[in-house]
Amino acid sequence: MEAAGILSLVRLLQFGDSMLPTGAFAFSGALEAAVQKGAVHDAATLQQYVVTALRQCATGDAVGLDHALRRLCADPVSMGGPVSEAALTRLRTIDLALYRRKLPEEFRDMMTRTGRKLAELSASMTCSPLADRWMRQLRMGSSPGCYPVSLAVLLAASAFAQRPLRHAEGTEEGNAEVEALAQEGLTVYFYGVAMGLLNAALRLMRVTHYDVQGIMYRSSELFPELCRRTFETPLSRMTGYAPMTDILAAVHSQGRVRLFMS
Amino acid sequence: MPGLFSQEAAFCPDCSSFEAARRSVAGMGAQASELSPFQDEPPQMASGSVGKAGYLRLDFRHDEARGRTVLADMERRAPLLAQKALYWEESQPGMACVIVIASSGCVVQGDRLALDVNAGPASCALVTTQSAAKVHSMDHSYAAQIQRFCLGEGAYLEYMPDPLILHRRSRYLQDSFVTLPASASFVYGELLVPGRRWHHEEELFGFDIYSAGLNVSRPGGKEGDILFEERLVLEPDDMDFRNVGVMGAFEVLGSVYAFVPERHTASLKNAVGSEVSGELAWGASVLPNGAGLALRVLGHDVGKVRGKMREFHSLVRKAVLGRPLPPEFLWR
Repeated sequence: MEAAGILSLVRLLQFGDSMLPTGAFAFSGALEAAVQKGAVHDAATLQQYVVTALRQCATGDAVGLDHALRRLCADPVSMGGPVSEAALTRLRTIDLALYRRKLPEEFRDMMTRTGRKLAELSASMTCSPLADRWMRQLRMGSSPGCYPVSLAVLLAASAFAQRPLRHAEGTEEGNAEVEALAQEGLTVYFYGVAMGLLNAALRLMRVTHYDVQGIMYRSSELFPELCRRTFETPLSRMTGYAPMTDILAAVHSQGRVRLFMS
Repeated sequence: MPGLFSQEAAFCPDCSSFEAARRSVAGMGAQASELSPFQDEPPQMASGSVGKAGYLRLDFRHDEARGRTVLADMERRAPLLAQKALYWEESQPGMACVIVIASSGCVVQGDRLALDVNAGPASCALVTTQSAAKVHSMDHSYAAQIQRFCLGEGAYLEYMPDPLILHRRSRYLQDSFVTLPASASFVYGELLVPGRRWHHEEELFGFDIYSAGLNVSRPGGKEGDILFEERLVLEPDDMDFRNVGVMGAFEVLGSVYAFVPERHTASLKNAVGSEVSGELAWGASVLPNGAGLALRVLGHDVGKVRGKMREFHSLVRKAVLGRPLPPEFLWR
């Protein structure tokens, strides 16, 4: 592997790690209510819950991440070039589209809090002009700062900045290159979603570390299929269907005793 | 239909006339990527032909002199029709109530329907249907309905249709567009039944696809005016509804959207509460950008789901208009 490849891989590992201080550990994605109400009570039901969350992401938030990544990877900005207003406007469009499609208020809260934290971390860590402009845009309040868009900014400014596209965008080879990068970004994101829930599960219910690793191992087999779904979904037709999760989020927001913020 | 539908930005379709609505609903179907396997034409009557392109435009206006809302204008094409406004709500004597009638009895393949409801400033109206809408089995094309609701300052509109029953192998596309200012309120309830339970062993969740979009915006028509968007795509062949996060053990889904002024949202959410039990699960979420609230109800029994939806509907009416719903008619 070339030096750039190794650097890119280690960046992906770093940003996919649950140690990344985005505050995600404070959110359970309504798993807390699901455990309280008995909907999730063992390893099998936990796995179902994780798969539902991943499926929701694949045709929802991940579509935003994919679009943001594709816009940034083909832009000179990811190679440290000047930040164009057009790129920022596009990121804002995607950000708003993600925000207004999130039904439960606690999920919106989670998405923007972790997104803002990640933007702050990116700006201080990478010193990239893109990450800096994105963080300033969030501070000015002109964009909500959803996590998938902040992740796209971070990946474009770091992991993918090491690997400039070898072929022009629009050609077959160029598109394949962009798609490969997008797949890597989506994998990091799906891993984060599943691990976030499983980490919360360890604190909420009786499951062993072996159970949790087993669920992660099996769920990750779905990732290629999830990537395909993401690529097939246009930004204007992002979808999701998880009424029980919506209800559990509502139950959680009215709970008296809460360990998590969602 | 290039130019009509943008892939990225939402739009508000033109349904102001029968011809415009026909174009809008055709464009909506052509752009629906999830319906791409079902774009073939029926060998019998072409989709959207006479009798299959329903259109109903209802214009409500507040009549100051008579102290009530009137159905000032209406345009209709079979199979959709409406008669006249009635005033049956005892607690709201000025509320115009209109029943949307589908004269074909059911929704079949190739049906292209459009409903356009305009509620003028300070008007108060209720639109409902006379019975459940049954979407029949299909082997070609799909059925589509476009719904547009446009409210003026201080208007109050309710659209509470009867349940939608998806027969096995049916395909249904519906897009709803709501435009309302911050002072207006719109209550919209939908009840989805995934088949006739005792009809056939493959009937329950036997439909091919159900895709429903909802777009809520402030007047202005710019992207920044959109408050809330949602698309539910249900494909039984491709997903497991029994999954704990999806529907769990339940079959019937009810949703009530209350797009009400922001001052009502917190108290309404508290008043309706939330619960997950063996019979019923429900909870309300506060929508983004101050759009209002959405209640989701899951259950086994249509009557019980409907009861919870009605309870929330009554709470909204009491919060906005001051009086709850009157008791339901015995024959409903």
